Parts: sequence; C-alpha cells; structure tokens
Amino acid sequence: MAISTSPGVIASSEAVAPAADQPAVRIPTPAGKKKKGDGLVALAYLAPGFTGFVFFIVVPLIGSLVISLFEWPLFGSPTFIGFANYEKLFGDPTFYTVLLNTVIFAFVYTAVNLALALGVSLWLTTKLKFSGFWRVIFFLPAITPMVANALIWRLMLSQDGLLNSLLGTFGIEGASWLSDSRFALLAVITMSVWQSFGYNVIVLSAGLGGIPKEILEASRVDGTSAWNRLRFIILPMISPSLFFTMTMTMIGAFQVFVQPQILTQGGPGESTNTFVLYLYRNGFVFDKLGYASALAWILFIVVMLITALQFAGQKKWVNYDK
Amino acid sequence: MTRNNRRRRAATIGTAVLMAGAMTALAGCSSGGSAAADGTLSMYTWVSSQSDRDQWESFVSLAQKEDPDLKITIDGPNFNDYWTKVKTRLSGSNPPCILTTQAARAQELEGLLLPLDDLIASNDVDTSDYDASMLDGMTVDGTIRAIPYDAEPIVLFYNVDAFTAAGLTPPGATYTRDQFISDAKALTSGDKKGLAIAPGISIPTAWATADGYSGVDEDGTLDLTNSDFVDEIQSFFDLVSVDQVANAPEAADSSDVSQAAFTSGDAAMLLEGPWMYGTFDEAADFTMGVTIVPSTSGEAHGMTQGSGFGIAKNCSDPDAAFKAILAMTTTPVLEAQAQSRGIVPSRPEAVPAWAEGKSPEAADAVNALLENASAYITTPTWNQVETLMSQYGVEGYRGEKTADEIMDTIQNSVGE
Repeated sequence: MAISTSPGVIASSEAVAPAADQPAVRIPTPAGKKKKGDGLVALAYLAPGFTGFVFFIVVPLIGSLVISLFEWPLFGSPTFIGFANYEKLFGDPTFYTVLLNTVIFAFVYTAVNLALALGVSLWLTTKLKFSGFWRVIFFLPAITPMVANALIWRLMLSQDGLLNSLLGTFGIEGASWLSDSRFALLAVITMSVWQSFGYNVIVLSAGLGGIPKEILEASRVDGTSAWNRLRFIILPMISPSLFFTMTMTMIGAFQVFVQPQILTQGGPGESTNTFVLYLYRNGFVFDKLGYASALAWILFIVVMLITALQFAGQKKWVNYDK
Repeated sequence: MTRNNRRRRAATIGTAVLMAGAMTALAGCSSGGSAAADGTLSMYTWVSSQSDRDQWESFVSLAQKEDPDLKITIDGPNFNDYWTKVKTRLSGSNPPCILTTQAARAQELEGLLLPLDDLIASNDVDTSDYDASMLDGMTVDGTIRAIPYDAEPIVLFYNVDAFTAAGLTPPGATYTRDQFISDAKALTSGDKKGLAIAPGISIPTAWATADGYSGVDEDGTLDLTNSDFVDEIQSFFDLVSVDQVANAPEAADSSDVSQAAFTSGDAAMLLEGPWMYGTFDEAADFTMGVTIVPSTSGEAHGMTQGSGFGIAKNCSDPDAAFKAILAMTTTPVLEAQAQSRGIVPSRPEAVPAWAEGKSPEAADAVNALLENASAYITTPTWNQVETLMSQYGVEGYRGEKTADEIMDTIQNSVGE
C-alpha cells in the first residue's frame, strides 16, 4: 500500500515499519561513517530523574541498610553489631503490636476509603446539581495540612470536645474517643479516611467519566438493573482506576504517622502506635538510629510484598480493554 | 571518539565527581567547637519564641556589664527539636561551644557535655554558692556537666477564691496528702475539678519525691518498679480513678490543656513549675496561691527542675567558654533575670529577687521546698520513659491498669 504524504514524496509502509512477516529493514548509514548511537541523548534525558533516583532513593536505601547493622547514636561513634538489631526486633513485643496495628489500620482504612470514595463518585456522576462544588468540598481535606486537620479532630474528639458536647445535648454520654483503647484506633481511621478519600473521589470520578455513555445507554435499553450495571459494566470499566487508588492508598496507609502522633501519641497503651511512629521515635527520640533503620527495612519489605501481591492479583480483576 | 578516549573521558568525569564528593565531605568535617578569631563564642540553645531569644540575649547583655569584651552569638531550634538537633549540630561543621541543658536531660547529653570539674577548680568556683540539688542534677558519672542558672521546685498552684468559696482554709507551707484530697473533693462539683493533670512522668515524679521516693536508684539506674515508687504513682492515678478529683489527661494533651483548665477556673489546683507564676498570674482572674507539693507528712520535699550552661566536648577554647558561663551566672545577673523573667535563681542568695512582687506565701513555699530539695534525676533513656508514660499513663488514670503493671511495662520496654 502506498501512502502519499506530500507532493513528490512517496513513502511505502514497508519503509517505515516492517511487515509482520518480514524482518526489519536496516536503514543504511552514509558510507565510511559509523552510525552514532542515541545512548548519550538517552542518558541526557535520563540524567535528571536518574540522578534524583540515585541520590534520594538508592543511596539513602543503602545507607539505612548499613546503619541498621550498627548501634548508631545521633552523636558519637557507631558500633558494628551485625544483625543484632534485627534479632532484637523479632524479640520486641512492641514490634508485633505496631505491625498488627498498622496492618489493621491499612486494610480497614483502605477498604472504607475506597468504598466511600466509590459511593461518592457514583453519586457525583448522577444528575446532581453543583456536582463540581461538592467535588471541591470533598477534595478540600486532602489539600489541607494533615497536622492542622488532626489538631481540629483532636479538639472535636477530646473528652470535652465538640462531639461529646453534641451528644450531651441529646442526653447521651459520649465515650473517651481518644483515651479508650476500644475507640482510639477507630478514631484515627475515621479521621484518616475523612482526610484522604477526596483524592480517590477525583481519581474514580475521572474513571467513571471515561465510560462511554453509549454502553450505559445500551445496557439500560436492554433492561439491566442499576446493580447489574454497576457490577458488570461500571466496576470492570473503572477497574484500572480502582487498582491505582487501592495500591496507592494501601502504600500510604502503611506509612501512617501524623494522625496517631497528633491525635493519641500512640496511646492509650500501644493501641494506636503504628510502625512509622515507632520507627520515628526510635530514631529521633530514643536515639537508636540503627534500630530505627532495621524497622524501616522490615517496613520496606512488608510494603513491597503487599504491593507485589496487589500487582499479581490485578490480573484476575483489572480490565484494561476498551 | 574511540573506545579508549571514551574510557579516558569517563574516568576523568568519575574522578571529578569523586573529588567533588571528597571535598564536600572534608568541608563538612568539624575541627572542634568554635571560638572565632575575635573571641566570639557561639551558644546553641532552644529558641522557641522571641521571648526565649530575649531571655538568652539578656543573659549575655547582663554579663557584658561585668565583662564588656564578652561576645556570644545565639542560635538554636525550638525546645522540642533542640534535644535531637543539638546532637546532630555537634556532629556537623563549625559546632557551637556553649550548650544549654535541663538538669533532667543532662544524663541524655552526657556524650556532648564536657566535665567541668577541672575548670571549676582552676577558676576557684565555690560550688556551695549554687543550689545543691541542681548541681546534683547536672552531675553525670560523678562530674558536673553544666552550671545551673535556675533551681525551680515544682509547686502546687491553687485558686484562693475557690478555696474561700468552698469554706476551706488555703494551705500554708505545709500540706498533707489527706488534707489535699479532702480539699480537692470539696472543690470538685459538676464540671469543676479539684486538680488538673497533664500526661507525662515529671509531675508524678514530683509527687513521689514529696515523700522521698524516686524511680531512679542510687547508682543512677532506672528503678521504676520499686514498691515505694509504684505506690506513689498509684496514689497519683487514684486521684482520678478513685477520688475523682481530676479528669484523666489524654495522651496527646500538651501541658497547655491542664494549665488552661487551671487559669480558666475549671480546676482549682495544678502542679507546675514556679516559672509559670507570671503567666498564670496574668491569665487568671482570681487570686492565686502557691504551696508545696502535698506529702504524707505534710512537710516540704521539693523536686527541682532547672537548666544551665555547659560546654561542648569538642569546644576549642573551653577556658573562654567557662569564663563566659561564670559571667552569665553571677548573682547580679541571676537577680536581674529573676526580676525580669521570673526564674528562680540557682544561687540561693539571689532567690529573694524572685520573691519581689509575689505573695509572701509563695515565697515561703518555694523557700521551704528549696531547703529540702532533690533534683529531678533521670537516666539516659528517660525520653523513652516519658513517651511511654504519656501513652500508658492514660490507662492508669482511667483505672484500666495498675501502676504496678504500667511501671513494669515501661521498665521492660526501656530494657535497663
């Protein structure tokens, strides 16, 4: 097939790309000159990102691995102790507690976050008035500083806070939301979901907006129920967005720090102490940089495994077909 | 470009990068604490606010009246960050010469602070001029690490108007636990409480010290599980869970919460340091009284907290730094600071300056506490103790765990 591109120029498709059953055509270089590769150009394009990756990711990663093999105070000489920090870690009951707290937080927070974000996204795609306004309202907490949000929630959930005052007007005695170990982690999860689900609303709304209206209209003509449309058309078509939000929310959840730090200080007891809060305190409050680095590596491995599982699982439910 | 040329160029670039790295690293190496060529000394301290900066600058300006050649630059982060950053600052380039520390943190900063005993001897400093408990607090491994500028015993602030309205007699310079609990119960009704409590270990330790007990043994080892200390902590928890004269603090509460409860009149009493006298007096619209921390016998036994100036171990001119510290802790300087900033001076002869403008009862209480005082002695791992007490103390105040269980958990977690 001949393709005419401009007067006097005739290009054949074979010259641009090889046919499926033919080997690639090698473009001859001028006689006597060796072809100059694109390596340097590629390197120049890669350099900014690659430099940042090396200096801000690879070097600190290796550095923390080295530090984890030492007893390393903030001031003074480090002492090499081999894998003693890791041995200590697996014998530390607080390590298991903070790991369990973090896993509970991550799974509950991610599930509630996605369910809420999906519900709100679906609601916003109905013929709702001022849907743009509501989208902004839901997104606002995600762009305000986490510390400020957490402080406001602490004021609301404290013993004499707004929530208990409101409950008091109805004759209900409110609980100690932040001091009772039955409610404290729930309070941290609730605040965290409120803070961040707006971001997922935006992502999922974009996914919903990308579903061709013809498909939904055709399904309506066929007499499908709303539930069946959601189950068999909408969810499969936004599955890439769902996968993205689930993965990113889960990774973020494992790094939860500010919320327990501001709301509960990890208390009461260890009921809201999380992995990164424990790691931070060991490094910068208890002066145990080596132990904190060992904790960081365990967290890295846990997050990597869970993310790998998510990627492996996506083949079964994420649909990239248009 | 030939392969050899490319290799040569790559080697040149690699060498240049390595050289640049090495030069940067060498530039970062410290050569010891600074005393600049013109004799200017650098002081690293907490500067949380303009008020803090004013305080440090007034120390320097007052000292300059006696030594006009004294030059000190002041630098530092806020109070909470100071304890981490001071360690990294001394590891970095151009480290400071003079450091400040609280007595309660002297153990933690042991590796940074130069023992001052030789300098004290060579400068003929009479240590008996300073509050003995504060010097105790600044002593680590048998050597003095800082010269204190204040000695502040924890006191009980109370609302005189609330006492009078409840038909109670305000306490004097003696106060028994039984009387205190009886008064606190009488002052508790509805939303009003007899006492406000902040999370943390320092105030419960002051409560235990009033009866002569401590969570650190004579060797300086953490001993939170000794039965006397545990009983004291339990009796402090019981003020909330049994006597119900105070609200349980929340783990994330700062001291502002309990202080606001007191100054707003929601709580009639508060255990705090006398450094808060001026702030409370200004904020409260009631007559404020000050008495001792209640003890079983009713007699005063103070727990002093305070801060001082030390010298960084890598200071290149410790003699000059020590002379500067002496100039900043003379009696006239401390008297002036007591009058203007409200600190209780570390030199007993300067303490009357603090009493000026305050009630005679307040002065009596502080004097009684200072006469029989112990320092707030800690261990190098005290940060961990403080953090864990904030987390676990909540359960103690709520009656969900006993002091025995909590002290045992903390002692085991800290692992000393």
